[in-house]
Amino acid sequence: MRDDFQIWVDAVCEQVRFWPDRKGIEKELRVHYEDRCRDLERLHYERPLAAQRSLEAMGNAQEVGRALDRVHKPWLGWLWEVSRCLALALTVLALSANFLTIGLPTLAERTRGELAWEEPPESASRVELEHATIWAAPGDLREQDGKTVAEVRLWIKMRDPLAANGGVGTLFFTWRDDKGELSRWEFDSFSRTGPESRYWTYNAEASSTGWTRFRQTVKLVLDGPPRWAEASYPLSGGDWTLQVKWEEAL
Amino acid sequence: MKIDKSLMSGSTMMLILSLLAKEEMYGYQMITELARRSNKTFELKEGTLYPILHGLEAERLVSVREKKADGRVRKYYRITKKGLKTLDTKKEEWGVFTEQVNAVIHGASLA
Amino acid sequence: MRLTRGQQTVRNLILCVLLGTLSYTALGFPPYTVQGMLDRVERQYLLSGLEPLLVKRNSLRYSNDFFSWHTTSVLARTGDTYVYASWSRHFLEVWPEYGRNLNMGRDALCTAIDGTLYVAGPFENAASAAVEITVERTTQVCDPETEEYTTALGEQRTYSYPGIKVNNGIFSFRYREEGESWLDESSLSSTSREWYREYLKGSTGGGYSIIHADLPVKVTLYDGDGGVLEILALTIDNYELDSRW
Repeated sequence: MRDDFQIWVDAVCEQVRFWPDRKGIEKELRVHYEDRCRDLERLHYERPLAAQRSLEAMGNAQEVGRALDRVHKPWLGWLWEVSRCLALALTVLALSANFLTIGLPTLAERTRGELAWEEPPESASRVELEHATIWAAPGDLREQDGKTVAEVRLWIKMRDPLAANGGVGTLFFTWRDDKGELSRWEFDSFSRTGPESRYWTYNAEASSTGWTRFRQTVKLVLDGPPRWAEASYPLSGGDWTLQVKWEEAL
Repeated sequence: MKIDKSLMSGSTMMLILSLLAKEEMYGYQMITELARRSNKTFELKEGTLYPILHGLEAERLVSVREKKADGRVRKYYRITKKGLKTLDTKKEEWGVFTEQVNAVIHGASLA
Repeated sequence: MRLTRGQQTVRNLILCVLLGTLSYTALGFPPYTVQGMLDRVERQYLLSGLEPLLVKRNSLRYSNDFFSWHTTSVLARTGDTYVYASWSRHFLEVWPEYGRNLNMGRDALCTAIDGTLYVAGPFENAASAAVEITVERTTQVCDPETEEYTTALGEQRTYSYPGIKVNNGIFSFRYREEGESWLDESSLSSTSREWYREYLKGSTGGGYSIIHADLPVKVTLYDGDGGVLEILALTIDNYELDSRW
C-alpha cells in the first residue's frame, strides 16, 4: 500500500515530463522527508504525527512538481540521452577492430599520399573535366630488352575525395603514339613479342594515392622511341586528348 | 515573525547561495540551517527548495556530488566560482535595494 | 567539476561530429544511396551526368552474423555511354564488387543479375525484343610434357529468350527460373560454367578451373508490327551468367 509520502512524491513526479529523472528526484525528496521525520521523532513526536508534520512541511505537490518540470526540460533531457547513446555507439565503432586495423592505416596512408603531392610542371598538358583536372608530362625514356620504355607522368586532382577502394579510372584510357594505337594495358610481368608487343602498363612505385590527389606513372612499351604519345578516353566526355612530346629530348 | 511569501521569493536564491558559500550542504541541512540562522523567519515549503537547487545546478552556480552519510546517499551541493560571483552581485543589489527602501520608509516617516 | 546536462550534451555532440567524421573518412566515404554510388562512379571513372536506368537490391544474412549483407546493382546511362556497377554493404562498410567489376559500354550494354539478363540501350522505338546467347564448349588442357596449354573447341548451343520491356532504356530476359538446380546440365547457367574448363597443370585427379569467356549475345529489337528494327551484337562474361546474385 502506498503511504502518504508515496502518494505525495508520485504526484510530484507525475508533473516531471522527462521521466528518466523521476527516480533521482524521488530519492532525494525521500531522504529529505525521512531526515525530517527522524528529527521530529527525536523531539518525542509520535511516529504518525511526525510523518504528518513532515509531509505538511514539504508543500504542495503540484507546485513542486511543476517547478521541477520547468528545470528538468524534456527536450534537453532527451537530447542529452540521444547524444550520450550516439557518442557511445560512435566510440564503439571507432574502437572496433576493422576500424583500427584497416581504417586508420588507410587514413594515414592516404593522408601521406595527399601530402606527397607535387605540382605538375608548367609545361604539362592539361584537361579540365567535371570532377577532376588531369595533367600529363613526359617522363624517362630508356632502352630495355630491345624495347623503348617511355614513361608518362600523370597528375590527377579530384574536386571531392575519392573512395578508399580503387583509384582513378585511367585504366580506361586509350594510348597511342606517332605509330598508332597501343594494345590494351598489360601487367608488368607479361613479356610479349610480335606485332602486339606495343602495350602499356602502370608503374606502381612511381604512383601515389591521396584523398583528392593522385600521381600515376604509365609505362609505354614501344618498338622504338616515340615522338609523342597521347591518351584519350573512349567513353562519354571522352572527346579530349592529353598529349606528351619527347621531341626535345630526342 | 513569518514573512510574506512574495517578499521572500526574489531572495531565496541569494539565501541559498550564501548558505553554501561557507560549506557544502544537502537539502535538509539547508532548510534547518536557514531556519536556525534566521530565527525561523525564513521557512520555505521544503519541497520547493529542490526546484531551486536543480535550477542553480543547471545554471552552474552550484555543483553536486553524491555522498554516503549515516547509511544514506545524499546529494551534497557546493557553490561554484560562478555562484560566488553571482552571490556578490546579488548582495550588492540587495544592499542598494534595502538602502533605497529604507530611505523611502524613513523619508515617509519623517514627513 | 561535474558538467551540467547542457554542457554534457554539447560535449557529446562535438564528440559525435569528430568521431563521425573520423569514422566516415577512415571508411573511405562510403556511398549509402544510389545517387551517391553513381557519383562515386562518375568521379572514379571520369564521367559526368549518370542517370540510373535500373536498380536491383539484394540482401542476405548469415545465421552467425548480426548485420545483413546488401548488394546494390545499378545500370546507368550518360549520353551514349552505359555503365553497370555493383556494391556490397555490410553494416557501415561499402565496397565495389570486384567480382563483377565495373562494366562500361557505348550505345548498349548487357549484364546478368541473379538469373535475368538486362540489356540497356536507346529502346524508345522498340516494342519487343528477343535474345540469343551462344555457348561453345571450350576446354584447355595442359600437356604434361611441354607444359603448354591447348584449347579445344567443341559443340555450340544457342539459347533464346523473349524480352520484357522494363522501360525505354532496358529490356529484361529471364534465363533461369527460381529454384533451378545447379545440376541441371542443360541450362544456360550450367553450360556457361561447365563448358569452360581449364584442366590444371599437374593435376591427376582431373581438377579444373573455370576460365572467363565473352559469350556472344545477339539482341533483336522489333517494332510494334513485329518488324526487325535493329540487331545488336553484345557480349557477356560467362561468370556473370552463372552468378547467383
